Amino acid sequence: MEVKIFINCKMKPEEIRKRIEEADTVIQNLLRENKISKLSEIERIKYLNFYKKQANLSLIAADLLYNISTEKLSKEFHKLEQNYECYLWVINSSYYSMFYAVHALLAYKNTRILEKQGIHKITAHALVYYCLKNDFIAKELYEQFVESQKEAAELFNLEEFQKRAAELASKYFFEADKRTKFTYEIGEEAKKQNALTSLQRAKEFLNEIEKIIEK
Amino acid sequence: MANKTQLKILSYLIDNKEKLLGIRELAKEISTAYYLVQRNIHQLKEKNIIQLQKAGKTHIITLSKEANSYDLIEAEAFKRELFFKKYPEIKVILKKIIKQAGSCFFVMLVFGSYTKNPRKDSDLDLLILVPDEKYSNPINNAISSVARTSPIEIHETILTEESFLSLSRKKELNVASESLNNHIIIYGSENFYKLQDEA
Repeated sequence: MEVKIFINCKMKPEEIRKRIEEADTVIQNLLRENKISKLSEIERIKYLNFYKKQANLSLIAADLLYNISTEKLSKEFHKLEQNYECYLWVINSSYYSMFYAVHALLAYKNTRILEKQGIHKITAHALVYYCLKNDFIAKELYEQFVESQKEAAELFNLEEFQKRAAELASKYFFEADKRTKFTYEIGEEAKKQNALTSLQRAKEFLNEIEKIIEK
Repeated sequence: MANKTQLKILSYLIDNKEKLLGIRELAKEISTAYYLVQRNIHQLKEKNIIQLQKAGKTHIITLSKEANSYDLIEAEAFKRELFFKKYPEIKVILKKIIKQAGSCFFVMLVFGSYTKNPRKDSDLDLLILVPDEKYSNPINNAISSVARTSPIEIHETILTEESFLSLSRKKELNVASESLNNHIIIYGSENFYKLQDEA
């Protein structure tokens, strides 16, 4: 099944301008509060390698989960029922791979976000502030990240997810109304297609980021 | 040390051994001025790297059998650099494989569609030569792991030196003969040329 992700940027110039203005305000505030740090050369290498590794590990996990959800032999090997699927986690792991890839890119640009509250939104702003507004990355790349973040946020409520997971392994991991959208309203084939799109998008995204980092 | 025009000429001749071209046609093929190609052809002939055979009014250019493999290895490195410039996404993937596989293999090359005109959904065909069968598994694992993060499908063939030589001596088209005719050497140019001499 062929899925092509990188298409022309759909975001209008005024939308991009608005996001740059928003990112300027948020990031400059965080800089004033010392919640974003500049990295020394040793730290830069350390964090770059750490986030790159995490991005790759998350993507491997996403691919394995997709394989387990779609391959009969894989299910047999893991002694799972034939109707077992975990497409939701394919989307989540794919998003996290992109999230870590962005942090690797920020480390490459000598930057690390220290603020933990609202980290997913800040990450998107930092991507705009440090990489998009000076044309260091293509607009399409930013758009792919935002798209993936939106998808994962709809399914998991990312900030809530992190907060609650830290408190306890709650049975209310993600909001029920958002969960139902994926688990009940969408058919098997559509879920599979969504998961494949997320996975392929994350693969292309990480490859693009690694191309920049390893230039 | 060859200059850029000489490297372009040699790269073209390595990849198009079956084509019989004169200087004018070659200049056109590599998009280089005729006078530059002519001058460099003569320099390469003097070094015994290429030979000219008279055919009617033109001189057909071919690689000389006495060509020193070091001259050709330089052209192979030039081909690789051009390839990576054209496909930086593949450079990322191959670097990961080399890093993960360590010293399990001694030759790695790209062959098939990516050396010609790949389609958007083309697989990346890799030929990997290992010194011994016992190295097949670790390299296979490294490729499988990288393939999970790769946006391009990877299709690998892993052969021992012995099976590569035996395949390359067969008359029918196979992975060895195909890779000998058209390839980008990613790793182990000297070993590959040594094998080519034995093939």
